Amino acid sequence: MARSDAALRSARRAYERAHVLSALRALALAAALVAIAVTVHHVSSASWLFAAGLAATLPALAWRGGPWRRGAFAGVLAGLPPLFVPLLLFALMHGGHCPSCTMGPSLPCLIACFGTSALVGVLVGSRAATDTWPRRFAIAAVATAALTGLLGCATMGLGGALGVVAGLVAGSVTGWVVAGRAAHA
Amino acid sequence: MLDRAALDALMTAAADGDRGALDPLFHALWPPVHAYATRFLGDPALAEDCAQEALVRLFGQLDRYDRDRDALSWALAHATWQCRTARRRVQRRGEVAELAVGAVDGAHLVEERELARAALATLGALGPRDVEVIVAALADDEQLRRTLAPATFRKRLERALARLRLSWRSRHGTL
Repeated sequence: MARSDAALRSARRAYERAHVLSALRALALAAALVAIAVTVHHVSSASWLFAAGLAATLPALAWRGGPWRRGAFAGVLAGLPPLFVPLLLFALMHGGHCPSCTMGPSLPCLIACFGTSALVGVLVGSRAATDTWPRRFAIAAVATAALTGLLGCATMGLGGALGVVAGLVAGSVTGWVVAGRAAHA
Repeated sequence: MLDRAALDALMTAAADGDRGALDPLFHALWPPVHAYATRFLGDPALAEDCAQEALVRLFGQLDRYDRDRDALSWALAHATWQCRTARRRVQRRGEVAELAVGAVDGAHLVEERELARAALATLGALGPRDVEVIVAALADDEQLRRTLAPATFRKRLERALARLRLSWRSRHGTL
């Protein structure tokens, strides 16, 4: 019996070690995303706040494991389009740089942030509906997608931030409902 | 009697990050894995080491657990790998003669044990689904039979046995 107790302790340690390693990988991913955002975007104090949020949330969800981890990494993928769409838009509309966008973002920028977020939100929602733990997956995915997207869209001020959050939530709910109805049909 | 469905549920919960499922999962897996390793190796001390190492590795890889697979088959596949590795290590050290002499009585028993080991090793090289269906057929396990249509079970068993024969021939020549 003593041997099985020792084995149980070792097994638990192995389990936790795997989860901590996953959290460390998530932290490295968050650091890489922040580095990219700092390189390609105008950095404000709000950006650092969202960066800190991502650096705390992503490893915590990865450590938690299961649907939280799956959702967190799916959310990072979903957050990439809103992270890069302002850059693309600046390149197309303002010749690569838009100093005035932070003070008063242009309507196309806000629409682009909302539109891409809503689009990836639909994908997140429909993917969450097929997971074994849809709510946990959706919460984790929307949280990390929003934080990743905010690193890009929040550089356009409050409008951009609201655009990415509202787009993600609206898109996710739509995707979830549509996928749910399709499954029951 | 091991409840396979409950075991699958425990492993799924642990894979989903439920720390509360770890202890019951371990206590459910330890007896069959330990017994399997003991039968495989014939050395209780070495079998304990292998069972422990197999479960430690399994718990470290729980996030890779495929819910469509049978939890016990996956655990036994880990145990098979550990036992084979341990046996090779023992053979390399030249301790195999000592193991055999200490564990068996007579040439016939030695032959039988070697045959059983070879069969288990060949079985362990198969995929978990194949192992599951062969074990279910040998042990008259009604649970898997009930979950599958009789024709499906028969076909899966035929395919698994064909792969087993092929694997045996590749290792030990003709059957």
